[in-house]
Amino acid sequence: MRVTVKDVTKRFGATIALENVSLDVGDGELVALVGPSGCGKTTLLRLIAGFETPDAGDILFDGRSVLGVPPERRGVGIVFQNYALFPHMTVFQNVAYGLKFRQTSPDFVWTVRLRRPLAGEDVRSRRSLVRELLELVGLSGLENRMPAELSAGQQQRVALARALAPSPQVLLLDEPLSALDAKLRERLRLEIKKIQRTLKITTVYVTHDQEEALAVADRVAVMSVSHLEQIGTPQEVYNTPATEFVARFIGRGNLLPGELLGVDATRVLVRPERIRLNQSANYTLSGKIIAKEFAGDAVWLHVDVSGTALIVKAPSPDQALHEGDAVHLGIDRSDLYILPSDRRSPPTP
Amino acid sequence: MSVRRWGGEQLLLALPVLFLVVFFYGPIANLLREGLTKDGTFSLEFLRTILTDDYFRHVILFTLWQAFLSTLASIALGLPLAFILTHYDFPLKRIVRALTIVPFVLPAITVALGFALLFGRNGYLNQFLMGLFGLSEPPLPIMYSLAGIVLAHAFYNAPIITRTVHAAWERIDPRYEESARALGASRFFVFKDITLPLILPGLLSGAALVFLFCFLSFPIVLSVGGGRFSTIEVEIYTRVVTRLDPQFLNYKIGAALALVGLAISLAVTYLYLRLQGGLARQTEQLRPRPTAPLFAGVRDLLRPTKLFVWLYVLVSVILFVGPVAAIVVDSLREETAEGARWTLRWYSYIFTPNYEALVGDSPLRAIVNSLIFGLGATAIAVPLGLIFAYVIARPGFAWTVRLRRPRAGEDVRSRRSLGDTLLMAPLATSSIVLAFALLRAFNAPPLRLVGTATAVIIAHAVIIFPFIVRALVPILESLDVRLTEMARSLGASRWRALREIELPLVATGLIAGAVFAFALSLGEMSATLMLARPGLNTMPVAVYRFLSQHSLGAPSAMSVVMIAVSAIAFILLERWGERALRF
Amino acid sequence: MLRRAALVALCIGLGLAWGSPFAQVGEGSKLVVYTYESFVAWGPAKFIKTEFEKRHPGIEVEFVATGPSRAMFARLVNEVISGGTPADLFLGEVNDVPRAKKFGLFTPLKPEEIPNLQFVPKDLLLDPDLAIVPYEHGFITLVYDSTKLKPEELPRTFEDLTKPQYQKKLIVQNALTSSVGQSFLFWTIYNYGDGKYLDYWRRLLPSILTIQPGWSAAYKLFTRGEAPMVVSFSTDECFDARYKPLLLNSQGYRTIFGASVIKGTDNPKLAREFIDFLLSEAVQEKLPDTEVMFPANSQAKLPDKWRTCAVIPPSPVMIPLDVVSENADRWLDEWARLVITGR
Repeated sequence: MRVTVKDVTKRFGATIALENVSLDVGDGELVALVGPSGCGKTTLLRLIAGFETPDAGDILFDGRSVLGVPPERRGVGIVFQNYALFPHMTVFQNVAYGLKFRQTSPDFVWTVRLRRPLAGEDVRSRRSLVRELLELVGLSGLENRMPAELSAGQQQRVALARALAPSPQVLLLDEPLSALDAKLRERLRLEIKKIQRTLKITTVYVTHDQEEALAVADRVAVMSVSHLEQIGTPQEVYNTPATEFVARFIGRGNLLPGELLGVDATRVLVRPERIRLNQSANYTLSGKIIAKEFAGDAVWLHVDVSGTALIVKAPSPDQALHEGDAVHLGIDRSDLYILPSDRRSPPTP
Repeated sequence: MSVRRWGGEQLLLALPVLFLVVFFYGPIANLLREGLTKDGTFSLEFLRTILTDDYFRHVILFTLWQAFLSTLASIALGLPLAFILTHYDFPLKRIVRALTIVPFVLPAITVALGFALLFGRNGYLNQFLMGLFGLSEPPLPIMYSLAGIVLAHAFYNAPIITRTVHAAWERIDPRYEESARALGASRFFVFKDITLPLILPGLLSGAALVFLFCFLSFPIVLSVGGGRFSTIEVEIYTRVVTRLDPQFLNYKIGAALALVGLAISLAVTYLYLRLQGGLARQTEQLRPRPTAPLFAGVRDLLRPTKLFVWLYVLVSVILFVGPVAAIVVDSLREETAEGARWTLRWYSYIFTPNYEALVGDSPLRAIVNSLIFGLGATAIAVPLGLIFAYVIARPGFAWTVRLRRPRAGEDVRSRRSLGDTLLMAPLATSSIVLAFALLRAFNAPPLRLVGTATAVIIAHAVIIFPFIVRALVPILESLDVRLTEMARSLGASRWRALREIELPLVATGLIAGAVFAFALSLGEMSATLMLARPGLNTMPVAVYRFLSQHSLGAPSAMSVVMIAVSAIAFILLERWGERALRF
Repeated sequence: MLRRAALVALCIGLGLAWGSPFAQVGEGSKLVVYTYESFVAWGPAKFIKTEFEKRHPGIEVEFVATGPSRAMFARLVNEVISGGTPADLFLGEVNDVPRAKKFGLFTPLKPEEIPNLQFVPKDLLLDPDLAIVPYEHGFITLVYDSTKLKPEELPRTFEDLTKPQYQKKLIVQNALTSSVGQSFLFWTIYNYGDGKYLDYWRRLLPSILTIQPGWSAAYKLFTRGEAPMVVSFSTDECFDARYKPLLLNSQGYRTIFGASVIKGTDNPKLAREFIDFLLSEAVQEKLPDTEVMFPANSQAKLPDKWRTCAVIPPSPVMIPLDVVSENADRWLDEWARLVITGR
């Protein structure tokens, strides 16, 4: 199912939440919608789900507008940040809930089957489907627990299973991992990715964590205050950001004045890991280490170069560097990137 | 527990406890004893009579039956408003919401009066309908029937249901409903599977409270029902006040009835407290529930939900506004030989200091009495209630009262409910029974209170005490202990911290509690009627007396005064007392 | 904290100070008369007070009429039991006298103590002890609104009243609290007999719109048009030409109102003078216009229009006082049971 958001604007009273936003999500693709709080990414998600109606623009599923269609008929599955598991129902009842309404619909295909059904097995049995889903998310055996008895990570997975049960065409995830601690987040995002890949389900994944977005997405859509800054693959967004906002939001980076390196541009983007320490390269800078962060697998150095602060990432075992040390930084031409807005117009002949 | 716990706190608790023991538990126990003795020895005779005699069984069952029907009617009337308040936005929404406080502050006798004016066979509504449709018989025979009693109760108590359900509904994370919708559930299923189970605890706890109030109801049964209806309260009143016999058997029967009534109402109170405890604690909600405008154009009006909503609005306006409007109109009219005309004479009449034999007082005195009794009762009940609530609300309280540690697996909450029930017994006790108990207990020296204002003030104080405690406990519970600890760590003494940190924070809630208490005292009729003497009449009693007068102008005018005071009370409560009225 | 405690004390103090125990009234300066509400609302109370105070300077007459007559009676009993009543006199109906005797409420009087008694016909003096001195009498009948019921629509007998066309058309008074209600009950007992009257009432209940605490409340509803019939007095037409009496079975039930001196009063002499004053022509001639009742003093002149408007039933009935004394409590209890439970 292809999801197209066409030139959508949404206002809440006097505030503009979204302005002329367009987005195209291909069939089976996972697009991460990432941006700071309040940029409108959740609003966009709710528009796709049908909980809000755009003031202008259109939303299309496989080319057909769904603007008049209420959420219960759009075939979207949604997972909220707080999971919103029905507190008065067991895990089984939660996951099985959507099956009440979709089971007999002929449009939907069982996408969940992991193996061929055994001879005589009732393919349509709700119980077996729920069990399979719980198995899929790694929660077998917990059918009869109440949500209050589960850990956060378990709740999240139940929410996912619940959303998937009625075989939705589109999966919407609204900051599904924000409430979890770092380690769990890393583990679960890969699981989500894996499930998404297996089911080949079109997914929009909203998050404020850019690292998470880069890790799971096929494509990343970066949003800032009510509009879209850039859509591209994680690599594109990281290495060739379209705007300063994207450059600053995605990953850590250095935006250096062009003169510092002697490059003909207003500013130059250099990623920290591309800077070589005490090695020669196309461009060389000398500076002093003013701070040092040990990050286990790397060392982040804050270096002062003629009044400008840079961040450099160095693999940790190699360097014995201390604050106050003088260093030389080497940057190759291929390590540079100039934002479109920073390019100087070519000199007139 | 450390010895230090038994310090100033426990001694302070002694004050309200002593008050309750002397003026409530003692007299009640004395009364119950009276019902269980014959000629000085223990006897179950009167109790047996109550439980086996056809007549008393009828009375008891009728009391339960009308309370049950009234509860159903209150739910039917109050639930849609909760829905409207939760989902829609409209001008004056805040005021409508505030109006749900009205039944707590409006005297029941004014409801009875308003109903008589509006729904009597010759009342405004029937006259209007008869004129409109050219009928010869009034189409709504509501007064002097069970339907009338139930409807008057519903008018009075539906807002309680609205409040409890609305509060529970607002607390439901809208994302539950959105998840269900995304899963394919239509609006109907969302309500049935998700919303309803989640508002049910709130609904049930509200229903339990309404049932209790209707069970203990007195002025409405008396006035709207007339002489053909008797509930436990009415029966006690009738036996004690009018059906005296030289052997005082009716006192005994009254006491036995009180025993049965008390048992039932305590059971209901216990149920209510259990349901309250089971209410989901507030979940943090990141997004407020979206509301749609109520008026959304003419086409929107024709959608079935909207149509039903507007029908409900029409009915509820008639039912809720009607009686009050009828009272106001009637207070400004008088019947003369030429017909009816507008006048202010009733108002000048009720403010007259001239003696009125019908009241046994001057009407002005009744007004002044109401204010003084209210102030006195509030001045007693609020400090005592504050102390009491303060000690209960402390997290350590459960420990200091319990004599041993709870065993593993023992339900701490149910024990708490049991204790709460006993402490809340004044709430479960009807004013009639309380007045009766005080009458019997303070009949002789050294505490000869019968016929004094003190008795009335004390009765009022006991009646309003549980309401104050229940209003203050949640406010005090929400007081962040860390603030006090912070103050202490900075050097403030216990009392200083109390005075300068805690009290200002609960100040608005405290004021709300005091206002609430004052309004309750103002509207109290039943106990005051039992204890009334010339010179001790209050406004509600005066209204009751005036009801038998030829014109209803005088009771209407006095009711308007009471309504006005109640209105001020509820405006203040709406501003400051949201928490205080979280039942 | 301290301030609040002070406030509490203040209010308690206020309350205590305010409510001085209602023991004895001032030494002979005030005469307190307990009576039924209509005596004050419609009746001659104001006139009596003014005139009596004129004749006895320095004396203040205070009427207390906070309910219907039997309710006032109960109130009096309550107070006497609880240690003291401020009342000196009681104005009530004769059927409560047996009861009063059981409680020892009233002081028996001697004829010579009430000079005007000589003008009262002997058949009104039902109590030989003169615990009650009659000042007015009348007949309990039904009264109907002639603008609402045509003569051919009227019920003529007690049985007629139970017919379906009269459903919810009658207002009666509570026999427990109202002497009019009690008299009406006794009237049915007179006609149907002990025990069987209950069966009659069972059949009568559907015709009753409501049972009101007293005559005033019932009459108020009647005049407001809530029902076209009410239990009232045969002389009502003299009050308003629309309201005509309905003599069921051609009968009316005799009712007599009188005054009693309460035992233990501080002002026995003054109380007796008051009773004598009630029987004076000045007051007695006021009674037809205010109480709409026949004066007890045979010398008192009736208003002219009373020649035509006042109805005296051809067969007035009354259960003898000693029979009432023996059975009233039981009858009232049986009636109360029936009315509440319907059985």
